[in-house]
Amino acid sequence: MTEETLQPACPEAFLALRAAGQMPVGRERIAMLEAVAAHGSITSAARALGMSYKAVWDGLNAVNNLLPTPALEAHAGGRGGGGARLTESGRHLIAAFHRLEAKLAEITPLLAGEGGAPIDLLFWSVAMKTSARNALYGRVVSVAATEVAAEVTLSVAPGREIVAVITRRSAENLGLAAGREVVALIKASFVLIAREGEAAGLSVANRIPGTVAERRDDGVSCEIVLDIGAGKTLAATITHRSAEALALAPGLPVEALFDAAHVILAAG
Amino acid sequence: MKISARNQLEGKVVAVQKGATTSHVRIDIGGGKIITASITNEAVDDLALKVGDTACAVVKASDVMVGK
Repeated sequence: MTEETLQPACPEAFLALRAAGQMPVGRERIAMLEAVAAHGSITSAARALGMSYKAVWDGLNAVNNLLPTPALEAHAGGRGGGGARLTESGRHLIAAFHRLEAKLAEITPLLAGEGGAPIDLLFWSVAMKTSARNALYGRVVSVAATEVAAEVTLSVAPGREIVAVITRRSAENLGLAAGREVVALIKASFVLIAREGEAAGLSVANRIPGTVAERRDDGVSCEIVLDIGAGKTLAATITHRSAEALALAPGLPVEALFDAAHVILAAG
Repeated sequence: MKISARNQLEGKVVAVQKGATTSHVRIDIGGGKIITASITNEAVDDLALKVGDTACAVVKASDVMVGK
């Protein structure tokens, strides 16, 4: 393969809603934030959007995980109960989104005149989504590299650090150094759950304390969502049997355990 | 150990081979079966793993490949 064939035929237009330190957030999630702002709770927001509570709750957790500080604060009362309101960070996000949308509306006729792709298509390519259930914003604290591997320590929230082991080449490609903002992707099936203090002698790099926020079973598998503090959540899929053996239920303090090699890092 | 991993195989450590960053720990789980774990050198030090120790190989069910 020659050098030339590696170059794309024409550069792809890529538009992302992101300020410094913010990862792309798509239109449907902005609509969720706005609905919560307008209706004061996730339950009423879901009703207004014609969506399930679960879908909105998940979507808003994903937004909170991707921002340096959460866009939304939930009041006591928990699932279905208490209210929720936007934070300063959430209001900024919505305002930025609308400024971008207004600018897009201005240039839409120009693009149409040139026979370009419909503007909506452009917009939907904005925020790449991955299948990884856990996408957490983080700031690189340190990078320790050997000839082959690089151990990257991230801070995802005050007092919450994640260690990722990736190849040295990947670390160099992403330009990873202290201060760099990244997103840590962790598949839910890579996350183990242990009762608090019960897995002290285990060779696992990441040990994140949290409380069970939600448990969903299908008879074979079980999805556990943990509240890990600072508005962040972490999902784990484990077997139904294990969930029963650990008697996992909302409110229970537990630890999420995952290997450093199971963390994928993405940088803008 | 109360942990969600379905597979917890106890055995005796028969070898700890340290590399630049990673160690290979071999655990004899009986019946002539040996499980090899690739863990960081730090983890080996934290657990003070050495030959002759009793240790447990912990494997999440979703991480097990099945061959036939």
